[in-house]
Amino acid sequence: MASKKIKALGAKALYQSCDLKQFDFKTTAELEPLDQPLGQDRALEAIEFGVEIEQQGFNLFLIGDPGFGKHDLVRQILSRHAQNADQPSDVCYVNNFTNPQKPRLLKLPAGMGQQLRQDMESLVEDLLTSLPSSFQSEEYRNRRQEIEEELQNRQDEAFRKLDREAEEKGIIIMRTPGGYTMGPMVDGRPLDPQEYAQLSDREKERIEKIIADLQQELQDIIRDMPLVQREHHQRIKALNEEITQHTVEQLIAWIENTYHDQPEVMEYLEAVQQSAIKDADAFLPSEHGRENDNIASRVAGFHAYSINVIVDNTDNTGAPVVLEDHPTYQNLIGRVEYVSQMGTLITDFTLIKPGALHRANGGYLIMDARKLLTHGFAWEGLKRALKSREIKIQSLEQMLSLANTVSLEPESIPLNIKVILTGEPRLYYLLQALDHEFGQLFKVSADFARTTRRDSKSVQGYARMIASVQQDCAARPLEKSSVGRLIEEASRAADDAEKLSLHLDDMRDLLSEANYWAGKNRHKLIQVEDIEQAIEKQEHRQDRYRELMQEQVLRGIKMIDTDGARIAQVNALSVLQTGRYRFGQASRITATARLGRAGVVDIEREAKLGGEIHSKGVMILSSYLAHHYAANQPLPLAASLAFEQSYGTVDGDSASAAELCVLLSALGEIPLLQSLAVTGSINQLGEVQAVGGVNEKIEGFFEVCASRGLTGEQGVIIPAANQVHLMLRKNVREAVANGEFSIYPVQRVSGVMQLLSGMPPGNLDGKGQYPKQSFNYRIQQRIEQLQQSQKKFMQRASENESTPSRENDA
Amino acid sequence: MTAKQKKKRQTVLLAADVGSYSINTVSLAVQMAAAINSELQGLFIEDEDLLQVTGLPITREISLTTARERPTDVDQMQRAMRSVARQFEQALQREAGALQIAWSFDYVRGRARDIGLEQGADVTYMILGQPVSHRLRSRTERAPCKILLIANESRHQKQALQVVLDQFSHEKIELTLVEDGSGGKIAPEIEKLERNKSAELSLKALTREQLLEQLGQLGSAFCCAIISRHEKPELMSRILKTLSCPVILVA
Repeated sequence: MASKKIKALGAKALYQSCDLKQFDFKTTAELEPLDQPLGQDRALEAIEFGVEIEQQGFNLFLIGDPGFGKHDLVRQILSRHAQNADQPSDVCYVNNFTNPQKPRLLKLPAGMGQQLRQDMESLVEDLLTSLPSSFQSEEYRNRRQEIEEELQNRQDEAFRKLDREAEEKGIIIMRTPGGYTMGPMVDGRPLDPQEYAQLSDREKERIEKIIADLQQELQDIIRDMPLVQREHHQRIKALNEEITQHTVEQLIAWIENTYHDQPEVMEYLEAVQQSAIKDADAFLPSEHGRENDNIASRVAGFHAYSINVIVDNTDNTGAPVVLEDHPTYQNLIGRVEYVSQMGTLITDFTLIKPGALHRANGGYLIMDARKLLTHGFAWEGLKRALKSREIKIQSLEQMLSLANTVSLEPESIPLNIKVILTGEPRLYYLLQALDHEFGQLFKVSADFARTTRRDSKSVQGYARMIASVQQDCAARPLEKSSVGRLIEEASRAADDAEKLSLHLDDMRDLLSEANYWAGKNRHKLIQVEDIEQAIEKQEHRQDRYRELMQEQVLRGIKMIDTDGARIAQVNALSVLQTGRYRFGQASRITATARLGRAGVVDIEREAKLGGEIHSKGVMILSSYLAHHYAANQPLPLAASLAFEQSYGTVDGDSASAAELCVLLSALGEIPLLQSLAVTGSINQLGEVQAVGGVNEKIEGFFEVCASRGLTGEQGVIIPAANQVHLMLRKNVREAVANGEFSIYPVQRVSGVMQLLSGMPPGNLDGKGQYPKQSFNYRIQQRIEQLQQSQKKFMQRASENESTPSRENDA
Repeated sequence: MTAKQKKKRQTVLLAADVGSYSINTVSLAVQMAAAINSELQGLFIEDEDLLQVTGLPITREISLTTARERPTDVDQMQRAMRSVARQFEQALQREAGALQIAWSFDYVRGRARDIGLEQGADVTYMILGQPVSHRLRSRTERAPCKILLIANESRHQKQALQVVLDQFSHEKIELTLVEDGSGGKIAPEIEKLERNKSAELSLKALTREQLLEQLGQLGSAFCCAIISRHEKPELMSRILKTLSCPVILVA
């Protein structure tokens, strides 16, 4: 049966133009912006579900690469839900008067936190002015003086009594530097030692006894002095408390009117009252003229009575939606700060700082999963908070038991939150696989599509999406034709003529650049010319490396033939990527074949430059070779394959069709056309399968051929399944239309071989032979030669083994 | 300078013994000398009565702080007296030096009160340190400072009062004014002072008889007393025996 001629594709098959007739607008200014994202119905439904369901663990993970509008969409949805949700409470930390190490938590209706803070400042201010006034009152002074005089008189009277008694008994009491001394008196003066010596023993004894008795009394009086002092202190303290209590009660009662329906606040105010009464002295002016100090600055010194409002929802309506852009452990969970005082770090409840969880409590918190995971302990902290449903502020040092210093243990805050993480698919699947808690805490995934089908409905939607982006960017409106051009470019970005890329950032960037060039070109509307210019400039900015590679080919440094025919040499195609820019380039693959048992050796793999997928491709082609040409006999072949002038790793199986062809060429000594390049992978049955980057690959080889001069013989062989992916650049399409370049779609490797060799594959006849003109015949013949050579070789070897050696004879 | 001229010259004498020396009294004397631009004489009296008692074999000292009894003798007491005298002199040097006031210091032995009165006969103001009160806290922070003024015809009383009020200007002052008609001239002057003072000043009037009646109770409450040196001996004696505050004797 004669082989069917493989037809090249026509120019129309290389590009799916956008039909502008389907648009009934002239510019995007006439279009309504999209109210829902295009092509993300699945993700949208998942987000709505995840946001509405209230059970624990139904937090969301938005799966998708950056640039697909995940954040914008989720914020838009959350804002809508948040408006209808209850406004969360204000959260405050206050001093725990019984245990300052454990600050207390107060939850108040939104807006009341700041009010309480102001009220407490006013209270302190009032105490600073009212208490001194109370203590300066005539009543207080009189009562205090009464107490002091009463006690003083009691002491004085004791001394006076002793003085009188001593005088009556002829004894004088005198002050010394350290206390008192006593001696006998005569005529109002002390007795001198001589006079005393002249006294009778009985008199001396009497005097000594009197003095001893008086000394005992004096000692009793002196011993009582601390007790009198203590009584004085206690009675003054009781008086101070009575005065303070009256003043404090009145002032606090005024505040209590506002918070009577807040039991927690009422309890706190009771504690404040007790503390203020106990520490009344702090509110009184000191001897150092503190009364002249500014009241406001003194108020600031009363930390114990201040209110640390860590969450203030005064200005919020509905639930909070918080985007935490820097999710460190502390930014997430909150922290306790310290201040240095006399070289020592100290802290108190006023230095407790909230985290994103506090701010988003009662609402929604959005974070980037990668950032969360790359900040130490942030992920663990988030999981612990979500599992325990409370926020416990604990420093990392405490958590890791690295700090022995005394710190605060703020009361935990009940947590009611919906966390939304965003991240690329790989991250999501890694978390699912490696962290068993992840699945329990993030039960809802919203998978963002990269592309959507390109049909009339989606194209209309895409036009509106362009209008939305144009308005967001405040760019010029686009002409209808420009919209069409952007849609075509979206297909190109999707690597598929039947799909549209949903990468919003790329589209936004292209539109912004087109708007820039429209300005430069003095266009009121963005025209196709502006978009083309934007694409060209984008590429130009990024294709320095591509140019360098091509230059090396054109200068003959990198050897790529684009004409003639060579045995065991073929042009394969690959895609390189620099950043987000991709381009195709041709690579020469060569093969050798000889008698042996090694089979097909992949030099890339042996040199550890071949990836696993590439190795798999080589193994498949080896299997195909053996099955197709030596199904019933051994294949005595030692062949090798190499990517020439390749110094990096090679991966992927898109060159396996080319590798098989070059191997067959080497085996059958069949020249292959160098004007053609091949891309496509093969399976064990010899079918050619679709590959990625087909547009870039074709354009890569075209650029080389065009630079050398198109001959009309040049072209690229692609898998037939890749036809739907073709969205080739204009210059390629024009060359094809002019018959200067060809794109051949093939379904089987025999088709590739036919195009490359110019020989038909041929079919087996009844005797199991291929037609003589076919390339399969050449290969079959060569394999038979190898088999005969092997047989002869084995026979000689066998004869050598059976002949006795001379040494043995000897 | 003739004896007459010397007599007329205003001077301040501060007399104290081991039981009556205090730094506050030195301050008051320095302020007084500064106010009238006079020389300040310090006089420390080694109380011979106390030395005599200390020389008795039965004498013990009772500590005011611990109430414990300990033996004492003349040598020890003299050492203690000299130590206090040194403090007195150093305080004079420091306080008077700071205000650039001329000062002198003498150390004499005798009966404290007699020597003080004798030496003060020619000076305008004599300040007698009185035995320090046995109170641990003689006056609490917010209690008013009580000043006793026994008024007579002396023109120097107003000046003394002015100095005392300045000394206690940051406190609340309760002035106990004792007059029985002979010293009525001071009242208007006090009113003037009261108007000019920023501190709170309250006035309590007593007669001499009332003072004598209440002296036992009030004695230790005063911060300072101003008395004419020409006051009746009976009252003078009672006052000096009862008060435990500096007494300013005015010429």
